[in-house]
Amino acid sequence: MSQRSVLLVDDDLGGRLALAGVLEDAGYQVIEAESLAEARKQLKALPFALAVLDVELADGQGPELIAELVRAHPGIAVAILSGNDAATYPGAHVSLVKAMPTQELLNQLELAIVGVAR
Amino acid sequence: MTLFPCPPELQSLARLFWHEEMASTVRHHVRNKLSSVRNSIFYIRRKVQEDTQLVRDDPRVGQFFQLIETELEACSSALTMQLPPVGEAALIDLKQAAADLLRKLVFPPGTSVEVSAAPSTTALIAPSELELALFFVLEYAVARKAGVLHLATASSTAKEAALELSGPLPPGSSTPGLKIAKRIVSRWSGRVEEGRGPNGDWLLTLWLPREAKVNP
Repeated sequence: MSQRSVLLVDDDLGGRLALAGVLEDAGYQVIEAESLAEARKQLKALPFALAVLDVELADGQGPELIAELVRAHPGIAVAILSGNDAATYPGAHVSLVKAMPTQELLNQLELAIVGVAR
Repeated sequence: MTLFPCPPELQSLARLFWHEEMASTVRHHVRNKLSSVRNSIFYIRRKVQEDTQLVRDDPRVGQFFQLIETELEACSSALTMQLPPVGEAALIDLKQAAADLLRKLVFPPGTSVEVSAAPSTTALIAPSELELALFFVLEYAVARKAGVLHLATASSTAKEAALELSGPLPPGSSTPGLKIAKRIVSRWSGRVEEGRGPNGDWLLTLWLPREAKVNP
């Protein structure tokens, strides 16, 4: 199951809990972090296949983590899940806007993992 | 509305983008909450569907889940509304645009802007939006008590044109106007980078598209 591990970084507690529940129900093992600092502490907790990063965090911006994540896990897929209006983020494999249909979100995350693994 | 005087037409446009900025903040907050609701409902629906007896005994359970999904979709669609482009996109000579704007502005004592003689470069953007973005970038420098600033086109690539503002800038915080400038540039598929130039001075670069690839 290690290839299904996800690092989920979001400072919105409700959003984090709900998405973590959905991801776990879909078969992922989820490690949650509410800030960049906490995410950095969890960086090597598991061999992550996927990171889902919120953009606006209390101590910085989620995309700041991308380089560190890729260094720590060369095969990782990075998804930006933002409440902001649509934007792209260099280094991210997929940029998604929050509140999209959940099944579509799961599909996009799966595609990102498969795309990086190829 | 702005930290130093600018022409009335620029003030009006600034007001419009202030409102868009506020709307964007609301959109961001609402999306966060909608996202929690949507994912929670998805989870609960899956669990409830496993209890086939409940769904069979009361058809409204399924109907209400469908209703919630429909209403959430309507809310999400409403959040995609954004300020349309203000004017048509055109190929703009960046150096000329900067010079035109500078003629309209009166800087506070101690701040001045020199436009360098670097070769001119064109970018594709609505002229009035470029003017406002440039104004807010200059306003940011003024708010930070900049001295003599240099504005130049530089380091452009085949796909992107660069406009650089540089100079000695004391430490300070960002301004709401800079956020708007970044939003405008992003609307036109560009980006704003802030850092240090080769001589250690503050350097802010507006990267703008040279070809049509429009976000708004």
